[in-house]
Amino acid sequence: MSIDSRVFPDEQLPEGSVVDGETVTSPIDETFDFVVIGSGAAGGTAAWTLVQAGYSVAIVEEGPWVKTREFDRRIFPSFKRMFREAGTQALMGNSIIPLLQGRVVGGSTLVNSAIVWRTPDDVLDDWSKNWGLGGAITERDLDPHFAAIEEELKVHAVLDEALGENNRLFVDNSFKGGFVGTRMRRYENACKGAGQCLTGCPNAAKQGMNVSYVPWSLRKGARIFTSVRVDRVAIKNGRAVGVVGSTTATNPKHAKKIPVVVHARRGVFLAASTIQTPNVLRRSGIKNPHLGEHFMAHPGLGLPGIFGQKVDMHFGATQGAETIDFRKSERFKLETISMQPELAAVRIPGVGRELVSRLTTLPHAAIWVAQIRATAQGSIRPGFGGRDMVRYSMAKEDVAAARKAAALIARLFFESGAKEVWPGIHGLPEIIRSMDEVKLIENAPLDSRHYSFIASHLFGAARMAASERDGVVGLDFSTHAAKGLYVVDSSIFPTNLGVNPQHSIMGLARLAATRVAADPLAIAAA
Amino acid sequence: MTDQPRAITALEYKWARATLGTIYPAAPEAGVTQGIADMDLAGFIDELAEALPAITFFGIRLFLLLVALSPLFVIGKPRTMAGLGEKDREAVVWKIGHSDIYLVRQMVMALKATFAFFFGGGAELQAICRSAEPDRAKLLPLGRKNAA
Ligand SMILES: Cc1cc2nc3c(=O)[nH]c(=O)nc-3n(C[C@H](O)[C@H](O)[C@H](O)COP(=O)(O)OP(=O)(O)OC[C@H]3O[C@@H](n4cnc5c(N)ncnc54)[C@H](O)[C@@H]3O)c2cc1C
Ligand code: SF4
Repeated sequence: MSIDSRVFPDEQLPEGSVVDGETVTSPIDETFDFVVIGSGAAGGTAAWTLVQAGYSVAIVEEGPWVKTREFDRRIFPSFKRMFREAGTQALMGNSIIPLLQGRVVGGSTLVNSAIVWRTPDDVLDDWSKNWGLGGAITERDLDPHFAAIEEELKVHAVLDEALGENNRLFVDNSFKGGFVGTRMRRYENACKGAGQCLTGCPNAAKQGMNVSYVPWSLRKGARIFTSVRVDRVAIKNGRAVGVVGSTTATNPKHAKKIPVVVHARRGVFLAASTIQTPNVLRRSGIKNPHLGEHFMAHPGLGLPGIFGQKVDMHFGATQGAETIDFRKSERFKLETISMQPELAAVRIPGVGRELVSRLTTLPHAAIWVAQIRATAQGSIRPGFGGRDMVRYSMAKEDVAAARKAAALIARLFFESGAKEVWPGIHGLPEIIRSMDEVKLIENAPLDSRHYSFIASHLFGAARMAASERDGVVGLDFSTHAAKGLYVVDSSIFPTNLGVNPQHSIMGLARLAATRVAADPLAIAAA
Repeated sequence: MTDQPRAITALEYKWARATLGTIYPAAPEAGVTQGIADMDLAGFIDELAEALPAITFFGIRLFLLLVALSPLFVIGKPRTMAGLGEKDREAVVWKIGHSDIYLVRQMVMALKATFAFFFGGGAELQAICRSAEPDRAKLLPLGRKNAA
């Protein structure tokens, strides 16, 4: 057996910097300048920014810390440790849309594909003009933050050696579909194209928060409480003064929940993600008619195309090629993705031996996906047993955009030399074999129940607005109802984006934390 | 290998094996000699019961039960899935999976998705799908202007 002698960034952390809720035996009661709830894109960035400004910071994370050395490319063992509800959550509405979220140190950045997009100008203009954000968040404000993050997290386009055939086919043939396909820009340092982004990068090449801002913050004095769920933010005299929660140990030996209180001298940053943040706010006594409303998403729809030659999706960046040419005109973005058989099976036609035989043709499959900039809005409420309940139904125009994208992908597959396309649309043949048959997709019913969507880009539900009448969070990122309670994840976004959200979330979190760190009122409150 | 999951009854397990073994059987002609019922399905069911929220696991259990008891309504045969031959079992699962009623076909979709986590991770399939790394030289250079 070979022993990997590399030292990963999530190892050799300062003594005492990680308090593991799975092993603590007595109640925790500690005090810091700031408490950050969540260690994902938003929380990791906020923590790192505050630490660099010289503050003492506690990060409180509901999930465990799964280290690079422990990553397991098998899907289920990974999903049950790293994903909320083992990856079985769903948006419930006209149709059931599976919902993926990380619940682990690093949040969804540990399991995502690290695709980078700055917030498009038209979105910032829209927020400014139509959503009352005025000059609070402009391109000029954000640009230096994006640039700093891109430098720190080594953002660059996928290199030749990590591209892989699935991505190459898309880039090389995109002109046949009348658009420009490009390599993605990603947060990664020496990606080896292991295609395992979804179960954690075994090379620590992907710069998720678990191997970047979180350990960097700990090395500069921050502390993280893992496997600790924040139940509510403590609010006193209209100001956030800390968090109250308990351990979430999964180990039966430590199954008893242990109370955790972390006091905040200067403020609390809430970065629990679009789905969890509204319910944390509710449990903290925040009231606002917009809380939990206006939830938006980019439902994704993937089509496999089967080639005569081998594609070997498992080699190459998990997601490595894309186009935003249709973002404004048609409200969708196209991307490639690679999938292991454990996930691809559900998109493979048939049952029985037919299904199993087709599974063995996966080495010949490429999968291309459309992310729909959907107009639909949903709501988030508390569910049973502390879970989160999301109600969401796609609008007809969103399904129309998805159908158009599916037809375009199918056409591009055939132009690229695919022998078969598996549309996965109820009522259509399970396999189409020619360009002529793409018409069937073009005429498919506009009913979301006929398609298989999946959601991982999430927005809204605690939106930002200048006044309490129009939104939950003010232009200073603090809730209108309680000062010093800063919300920095995409729950504050007035709309969705049409591009992948992580960079926008990080840019806004960095902007917010920088402003708060420099705010004399926050200092005075100490 | 676990003989009987702790999380469901022996009868439910018998039905689960029949239904899931129909969705994911062996396909020796394609190099897959082990169907899901030949694998440690009982162990996986217990793992699911531990990992999923109770309500989600209850849903899976309910779907397994409904499909197992459905042959009378689907193909007109008054048996459970476990009492049918392979062809009939496949017809039942196929028909439910292609039903025009959304919630009915979702039952098979949910079972297909959940148990793919297990079946898709089987050694034979993994070996087939993760065959040797392709020859990198063949992948280069890019044909068009999009080189990084
Ligand atoms: C599979 C997948 C692929 C994706 N690919 C991309 C991509 O390539 N590019 C991109 O831009 N976006 C991508 N996304 C989306 C992106 O990862 C998310 O938008 C982003 O991570 C959200 O950041 P966040 O900080 O709001 O939430 P998260 O990153 O999800 O982090 C929130 C954290 O808060 C913790 N938390 C929640 N509630 C509590 C509580 N009560 N107490 C304590 N902790 C709590 C959670 O456990 C979690 O760790 C992907 C998402 C997924 C799931
Ligand atoms: S493709 Fe592989 S090496 Fe590259 S970032 Fe993802 S997991 Fe890491």
